[in-house]
Amino acid sequence: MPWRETVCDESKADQDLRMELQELLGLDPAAPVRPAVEATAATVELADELRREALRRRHTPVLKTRRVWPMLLAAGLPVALALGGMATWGTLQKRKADALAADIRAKEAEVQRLAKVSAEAAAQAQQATQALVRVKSGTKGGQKARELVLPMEGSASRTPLDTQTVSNPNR
Amino acid sequence: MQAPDTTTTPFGDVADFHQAFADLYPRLVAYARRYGATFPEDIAQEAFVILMQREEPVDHPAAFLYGTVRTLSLTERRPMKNQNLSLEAVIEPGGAPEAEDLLLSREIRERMRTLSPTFREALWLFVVEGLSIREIGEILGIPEATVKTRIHRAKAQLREQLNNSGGAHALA
Repeated sequence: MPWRETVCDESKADQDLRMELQELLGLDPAAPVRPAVEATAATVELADELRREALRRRHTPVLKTRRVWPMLLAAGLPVALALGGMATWGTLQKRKADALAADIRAKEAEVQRLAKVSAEAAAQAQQATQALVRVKSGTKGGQKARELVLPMEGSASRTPLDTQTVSNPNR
Repeated sequence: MQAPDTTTTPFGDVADFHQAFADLYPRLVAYARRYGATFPEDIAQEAFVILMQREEPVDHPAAFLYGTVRTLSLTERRPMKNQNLSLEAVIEPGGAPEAEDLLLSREIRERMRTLSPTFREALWLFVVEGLSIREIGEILGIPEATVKTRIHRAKAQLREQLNNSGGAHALA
């Protein structure tokens, strides 16, 4: 199949336009602008060499795809390292948060325990005070019952009849 | 291990490929040279290797080759930081006249040189290389309608140029 037959079909209008342009340019529409070239031994050899090169290259992509993986790995390594670093950092942060939460819970429990102990101590102190008050009040009443208390009447006069005048020998 | 030698090529069997290569290789070298490629032979050969290397079949092998040569040529000339491919920004095709010298007379060459690079590119591929509108669209990466527009504008510019210069042979 001549290569010209691989050229897509064109309309009659296009062919007429080409002939018209050839006339405008002063070319002979009947004669081809480019004469056909016969294949020589040199061109055939060059063509075969290029065909072999194309075949060789056609098989090269297999090797190229194998070499792509290390490159992809190398490109993905920083990303993987970054993700790993972030995951480690996140895990550490979570552990810290858990430890802080546990610490806070322990402190709250301690505060509650201390409050409870304080309340108990206050109750005991109050009970002791009440008991002491009861004891004191009970003792005072007993003494009152055992002792004789005489009411003392005050002197009616404040005159110096109750006093005695003495002289001072040193004067 | 010897690689299996496939007998089918994008152009048919091996004999068809040899004939297509003999016919297309000089064209592709000249096409690369038009873009100012430093090593046009290397670029044309690389385009063939890329075409033959493909696992998927190509609908229009010739257009694929031209498109690859164009891309490789422009890439070769472009600094890496500015890969926006454009013919106008890369080279004035008339600056590399070796390929045209072999095919066109001086008068025709001068006539084409007066066209804008965009129109000249489409006109060259359509008239000199004999490619179809669809193939040119694939090569340049533009819609077929845009190719047609460029070719018709090139034709209008040629007509105007001939009218101004009093040319008569083509308008007769």
